[in-house]
Amino acid sequence: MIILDFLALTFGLHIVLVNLGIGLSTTVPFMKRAGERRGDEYLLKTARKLMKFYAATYGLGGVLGTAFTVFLLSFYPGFLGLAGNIAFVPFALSILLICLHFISIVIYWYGWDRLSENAHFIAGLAMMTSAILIPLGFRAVFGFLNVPIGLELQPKIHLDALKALTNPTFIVLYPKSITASYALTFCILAGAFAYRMQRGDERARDYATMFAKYGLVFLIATAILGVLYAETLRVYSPYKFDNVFAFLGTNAKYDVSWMFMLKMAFVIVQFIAIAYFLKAREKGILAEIAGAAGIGAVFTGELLNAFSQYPLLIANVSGLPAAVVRSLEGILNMAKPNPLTTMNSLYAITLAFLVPLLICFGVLIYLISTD
Amino acid sequence: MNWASYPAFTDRVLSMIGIEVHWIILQYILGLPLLAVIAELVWIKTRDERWLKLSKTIAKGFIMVFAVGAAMGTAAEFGLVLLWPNLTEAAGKYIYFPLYAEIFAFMMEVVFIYMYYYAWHKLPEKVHVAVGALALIGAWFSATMIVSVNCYMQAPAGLLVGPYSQGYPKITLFIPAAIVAALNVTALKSAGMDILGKAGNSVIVAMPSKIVKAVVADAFSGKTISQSVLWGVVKPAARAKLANVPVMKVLDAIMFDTVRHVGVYTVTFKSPVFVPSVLHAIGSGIVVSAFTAMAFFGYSAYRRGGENAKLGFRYSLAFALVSIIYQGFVSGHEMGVAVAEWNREKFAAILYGSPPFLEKIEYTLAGVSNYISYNQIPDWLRPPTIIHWFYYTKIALAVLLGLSALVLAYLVFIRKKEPYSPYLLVLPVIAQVVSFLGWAVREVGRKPWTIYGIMDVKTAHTINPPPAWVDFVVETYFIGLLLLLCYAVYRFLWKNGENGESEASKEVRA
Repeated sequence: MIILDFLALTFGLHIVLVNLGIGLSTTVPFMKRAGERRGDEYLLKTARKLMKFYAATYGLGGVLGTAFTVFLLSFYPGFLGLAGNIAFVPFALSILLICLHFISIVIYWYGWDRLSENAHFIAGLAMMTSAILIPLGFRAVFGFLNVPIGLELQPKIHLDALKALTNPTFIVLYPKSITASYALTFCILAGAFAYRMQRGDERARDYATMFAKYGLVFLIATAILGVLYAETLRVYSPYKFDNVFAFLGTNAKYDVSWMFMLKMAFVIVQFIAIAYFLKAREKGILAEIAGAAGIGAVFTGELLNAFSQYPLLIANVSGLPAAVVRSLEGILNMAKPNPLTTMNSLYAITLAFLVPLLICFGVLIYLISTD
Repeated sequence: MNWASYPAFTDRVLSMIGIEVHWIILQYILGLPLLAVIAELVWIKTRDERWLKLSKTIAKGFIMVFAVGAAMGTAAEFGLVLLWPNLTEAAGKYIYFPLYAEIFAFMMEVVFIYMYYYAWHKLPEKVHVAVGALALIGAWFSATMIVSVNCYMQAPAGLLVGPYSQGYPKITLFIPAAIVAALNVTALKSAGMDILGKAGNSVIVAMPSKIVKAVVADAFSGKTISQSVLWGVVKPAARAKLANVPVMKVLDAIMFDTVRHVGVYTVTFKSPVFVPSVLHAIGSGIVVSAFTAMAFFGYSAYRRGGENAKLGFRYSLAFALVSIIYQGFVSGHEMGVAVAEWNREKFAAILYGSPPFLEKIEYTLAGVSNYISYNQIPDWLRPPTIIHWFYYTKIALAVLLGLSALVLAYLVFIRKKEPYSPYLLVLPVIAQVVSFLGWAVREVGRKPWTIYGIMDVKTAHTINPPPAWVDFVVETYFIGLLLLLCYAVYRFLWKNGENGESEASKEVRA
């Protein structure tokens, strides 16, 4: 279905930008702080440039998240209606943090050289903390979609938010998301510094190495958490596990193992490239490859997680009474979108807007990076 | 009726505050890009550097607030999903297109607003102006889409008004013939339903909103036909087959059929209040932006003097004067006419308690001869009477605003005086209050409906509302963010500017 392609594209791009956002929100305040402590102009300038990039692009990450929600609302309105009725706590938590994050970006960006160093650093910490905590609520919802722990049916259908936080798939998925963000950002930064190194910037070599090391550490952490996540899926959401690991001869209903293979290919390239760069530091192209492969890994990984439960919007409903499952059947089925949205003209309209706007976004990135 | 007596009062207040904080900010995105782009065009034409500086200063103002406005928009969107999930579901199912298209508008805003800011002197001048125009189009496009959904909530396409004794207001529906065949049409007719004709496999009817409301409420509470009001009009022969069918299935079939006939992409734009509402909303953004820019340039001229501030003051004063005249005499008038015709209960509530002569003037201005008074409205349709006070406070403040602009324009453009004063800073506050009150009349005056004639407040509301203290905490948080944003604008745009060079210039130069 083309609908799913739109959802996948907007969601995948959103997640890549959000991952970069988490990484940059952490890197920039500490880089600037280090620059201030050492009186290092190079670090200060680099931190400012990274912040400028983030200040110009975080909005698109946000708008793509909103686009995903609206696509979801249009294609699966019953699902969003149900989510709205039961998921106040996790969604509200994330939304309040998004507001805090956006204003902290404004204060941090415009407060550069205008606030005292300490006050500016505190604004940076608020930016970092909010970025790290925003996914908490959303990932809790993703955990719920793996297996609806915390869903209570009496006296009326509602979510026990504390119970939902004990969802084993969420407990692993959330830290995995954060480590993956850092792995991606640090590999991209290693690539960016390596690029500058190749153009004669000697100091960039040290930072390329430093970020490559960080990237490798977080990549290993993500890999470990990834294995744990797969194990929680095997136990709590076997439908997803079977679809991802169909090559193991599981009882797959919707084989997405090819996507898993693709993701693993990206991860392996990322790993080898960054590890080899640490051995052969003059080969900056390796760090650049690691960054690009990291984007591919995050994009495909997120889609893998979403599509492995196709066509179910909640992957494991075995714990719910059969009558409830029957009554929810129509609204929890990705294969049954809103009939008013299944028109070719809508897809044409979507492409007519989306493609030029994404190209313009590319132009914006180019303009920012040509300082 | 008392405003607080309608369902979900604390959640309505939370929605009001969340959306109002978003609206306070986004009005600057509707108006300031217009001022910035025109100033840049003047610079290109005249090569007078003061206009370039002016354009950059205005641009920095809207860039700074845009991010928080966008975040508050996301909060408002999720607020609707979490507090009014059934409304959101209905909108997503039946009138999704403007919300869908609004995403592209939002993307246009994000891409072109930032490009406008970051690409100064990196793009050819004319291309840069075009980027600014695209940012403005994105903002107006976005507003048009969102307002169209709100218009459907005020007066849905197919709304019919008439005497209450004959079952009005009614909603035009296209009912699939298979459903009609299972219903006792005689009973429905006696309840006020009119058959208007046929279209393909559908029967076109005018259904009393009392019936529509009940069916919608049953559908969203998960009832089956045997548990619903429909049971009384299902033919005996069809009862066994339909008893366990969810009412939602029937509602979906009727609404999908109706929307397909009216136009999947155009249904909200066919609301009879659409055009004046859009013109009035965008006009409001320009008024608030112009008065705010005028006040700040005027105050700057008072504090620091300087030709740039004086030029900015004159420029934004001209905008303020033209936009308030347009808002009062053109779009505001058309809005009033539309309300009088299509939201008669709201209009009656606005006039409730007014002296008879004033009532007569208002109805004459609206071109309505056969009007109703508030006491003639059936209890279940009555809006809160507080909107009477909202409306007249708004009108009084708007007149004050208009007179202020007129007097200032007279002093500046005819008497060549320099009326710079700190008191100017009161004007944008008044403009925001006027805008808020106008919106409050529109939204509060729609009660008891969430979608007029179709869905009431109780049906739209979540089955798991947050406790009142949570609402209070979130409201405080939103207001705190707004104050923090005001401080950031003061600190980074205003206070730093006191040191000499405009911050916008420094930023662009950096």
